[in-house]
Amino acid sequence: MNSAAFFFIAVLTLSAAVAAACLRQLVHAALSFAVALVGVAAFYFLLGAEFVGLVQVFVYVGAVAVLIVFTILLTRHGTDENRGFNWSGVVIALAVLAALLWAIMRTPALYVAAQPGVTVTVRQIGEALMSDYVWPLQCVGLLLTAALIGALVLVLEEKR
Amino acid sequence: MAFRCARGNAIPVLLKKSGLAFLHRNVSGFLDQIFVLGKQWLLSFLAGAPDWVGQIASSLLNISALLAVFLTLFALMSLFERKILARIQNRYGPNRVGPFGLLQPVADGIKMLIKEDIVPARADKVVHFLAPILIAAAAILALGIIPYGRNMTPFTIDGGILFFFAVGSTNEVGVFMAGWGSNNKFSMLGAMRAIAQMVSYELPLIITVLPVVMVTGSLTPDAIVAAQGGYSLGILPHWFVFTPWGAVAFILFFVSGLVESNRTPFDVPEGESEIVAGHMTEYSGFKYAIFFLAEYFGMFAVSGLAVTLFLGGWHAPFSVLQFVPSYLWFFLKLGVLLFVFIWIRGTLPRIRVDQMMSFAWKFMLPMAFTCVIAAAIWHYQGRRLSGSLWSLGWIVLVYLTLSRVLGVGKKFAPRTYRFAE
Amino acid sequence: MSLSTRAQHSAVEAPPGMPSRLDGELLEVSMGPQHPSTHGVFRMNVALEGEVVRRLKPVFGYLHRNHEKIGENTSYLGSMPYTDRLDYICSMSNNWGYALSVEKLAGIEVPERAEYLRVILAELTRLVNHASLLGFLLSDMGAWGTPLMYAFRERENILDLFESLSGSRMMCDYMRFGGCRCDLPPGWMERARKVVDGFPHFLDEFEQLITGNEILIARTQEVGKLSAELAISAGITGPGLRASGVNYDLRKVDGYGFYPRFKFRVPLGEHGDCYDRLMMRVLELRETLGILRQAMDDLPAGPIMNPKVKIRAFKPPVGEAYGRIEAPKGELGFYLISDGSGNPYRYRVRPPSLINLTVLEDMCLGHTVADVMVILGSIDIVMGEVDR
Repeated sequence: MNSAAFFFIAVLTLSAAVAAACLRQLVHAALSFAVALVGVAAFYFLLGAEFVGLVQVFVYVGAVAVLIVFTILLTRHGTDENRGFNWSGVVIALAVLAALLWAIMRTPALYVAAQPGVTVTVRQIGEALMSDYVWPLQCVGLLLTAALIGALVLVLEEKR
Repeated sequence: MAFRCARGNAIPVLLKKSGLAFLHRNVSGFLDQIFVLGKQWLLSFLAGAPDWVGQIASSLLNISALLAVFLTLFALMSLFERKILARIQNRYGPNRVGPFGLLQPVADGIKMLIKEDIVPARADKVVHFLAPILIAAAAILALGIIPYGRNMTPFTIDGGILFFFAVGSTNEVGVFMAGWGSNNKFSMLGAMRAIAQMVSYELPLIITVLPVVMVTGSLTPDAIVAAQGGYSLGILPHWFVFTPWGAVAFILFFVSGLVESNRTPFDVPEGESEIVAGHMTEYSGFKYAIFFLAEYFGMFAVSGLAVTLFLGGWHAPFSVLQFVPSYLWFFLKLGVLLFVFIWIRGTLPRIRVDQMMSFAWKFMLPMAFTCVIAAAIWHYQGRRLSGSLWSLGWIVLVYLTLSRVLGVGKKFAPRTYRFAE
Repeated sequence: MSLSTRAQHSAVEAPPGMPSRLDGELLEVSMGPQHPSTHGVFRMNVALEGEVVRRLKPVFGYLHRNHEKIGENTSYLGSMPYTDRLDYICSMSNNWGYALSVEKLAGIEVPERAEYLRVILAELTRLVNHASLLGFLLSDMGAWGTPLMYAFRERENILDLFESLSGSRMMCDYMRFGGCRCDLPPGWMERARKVVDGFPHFLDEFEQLITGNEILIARTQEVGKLSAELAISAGITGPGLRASGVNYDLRKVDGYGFYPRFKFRVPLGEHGDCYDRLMMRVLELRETLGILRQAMDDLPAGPIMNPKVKIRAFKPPVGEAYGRIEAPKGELGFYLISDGSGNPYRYRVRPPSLINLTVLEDMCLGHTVADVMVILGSIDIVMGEVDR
């Protein structure tokens, strides 16, 4: 059953991703991107990483996708003009893919057999975040706060 | 397995062996677990089947029970809302269809079903079609993690609370799709308003949950309900709403819930007198009904979560009343909260968008953080009376400071008038 | 302010693809004529920047039915029922305004009892109008009709009175030049007293629940301010003018009817915002109740119709006259030119709703869409009167 689910989710995620890259209408692309993000979350669920999956939905679908959609709305000017095939985009995409593949191939995790039956609870994650990883967590928090304030400052200046 | 029986398989075995004798001994316990036992009885037919068949059957049973209960509740709620609203407004309300108008929801449903489904010519057909489905699906999913009674959580997820909010946040995408897909200015305005307010009020909504999660040390709704069991002196239940931070957090949560489910006085996204129906302007027939359903399901979900987090879930208010089945307590509390929803709707005028936003950021959010700190104070003072007093003092201090800093009372006040003879 | 100088219909064309642009460009929204809270078939072409109104063009005429032209082709009596349809909430005061101008035109005396009856009925109409306005205004603010239903409870009582007196609840057609159509039915005065005595209860309840409500105050104070200068130069009348602090009430200024005989005060606002306009109505309701009590106590016996007037074959002398009354919404005037024939040569209505509506844009600019509805509601318009 798991492999069937994997196959189904993989097809869904990949086709959504391809659609996000290919669709003409920008909003459609953004929505397909959201579907792809949900697919990734489904993978996490399939792997038993509930917490990561939930955070994926929460952050990426609830926040990032909405942000993208909002940005499209607020900034769109000309629509539907055909600008020809974007070769630079293809080059960048291939470069990113190559880098990712390189990174994936180099990780040792690929060659370690997964330990079955180890479910990490939210409590454990929380404890790890609050003990071993407390500094990175605080740094990320600080960074995000700074970004928030920066965005506010930018908007306020624009208004003035 | 979602419905886990606390006493293992003891009850069904006992039931089989002693039948009525057992009933005599423990009628209330039996009634309490009647649905759980019923489900296990149904699943016992699949005893020989492979594991995954049992799992799927169990899930399907849960889903259908959930849908059946809440669709009925939706129908009843739509009727009672109209009835109660009518009483508040000095009217009778629906009383033509069936005895006391009880069949009104059926009539409404039929009306909605046979109405023409109009899709605007320039709408984005696919997005327009998918939006109500997404919104309804999100609302129904959110209902799945709430413990409706002892051992009656449809889907036990480790991070249940997180699941609730994760699913709730996809709502925004649905609203956006509805507003954008309709190709209507009112829809677009409504969707922008809706997303803006949802994003703003999600923060206080989640942050008011934090103290509960901190105090119980768990994101699982079952654990949170379990932590609220027990009574002081047999009359004072250990619900979080009876702690200072819990009371404030409950009010904040409830207000944010009002916003998230687009209810008066925060029904700005569909403000009828302003932007017709917001993102639902271009929907008709059954699609509109789906939106309606999603709105009510969202209301049930938020109220249910409020009950779970602050009102002790399915626990009885007094220890002597524990013989009443747990799910009845849950739905009674839910009903009280829903009544408050209706009551507020019949009472208050609508607030303006900018006022609502500043309310969220200037008042709700600081107060929510105050609750987190108050809960910490309460915890480190040993969760006793002194802790309660300290946290209460802290909350009052912040509240007074906030109201002084914001100075709303100075700007807006009733006036006196002069007269010319 | 002047509507004629602006194009009534702007070319609102959606750009291809997305209709709304929120990147600083204005979003043109056509609110109405089918809209839940435009008080009938009224339309506003609003240009929004985000939520803020930057331009507003009122468009009306959807309910135009040639009232004035019909008036010129009907007998003087024949126009009386038509005046009911002007401001269909206040038919009694419309009747009075028209009767007053015809009486002025032909120099007709009105019996004392009829004048008292007119005052009573016009003030009852004021109760109806102000009570429903408060309800509608709160509905526009999204209070889901609760205040409206309570206001309508009071309105129903008064409409019952109208029905038993004139045979119709809303289209009363009660007054005639030279008096009133029929005398009070038995027991009417007692019932009217009961209604008037019960009304303060509603007002107390309303003030307690609503005028101190924080949301209402936050929604109406400092919203839709109208300065006294603009109000005067635009010809605003009624509670809207008095909310800006101008002491101008035709009942005091003209002293028509028997109003000088009654003691009442005129409430005056200071800020000219929506809250003041709303409170003007509430305070006026109390004064109106005082007038009603005095009139009911003093109501003399006697004829209700000047026997010399032949209302059917009515032919006033050549001349012109402008009669005006303080209708609940403002100055309601009828301008008549007679050429000596059975129907007026020119018949013109000065509707308070239309004139008060002219400053809508000035009041709305810089406020949000939500405020537009509150402002429109606080102006108190009835489209039957605006479009005629």
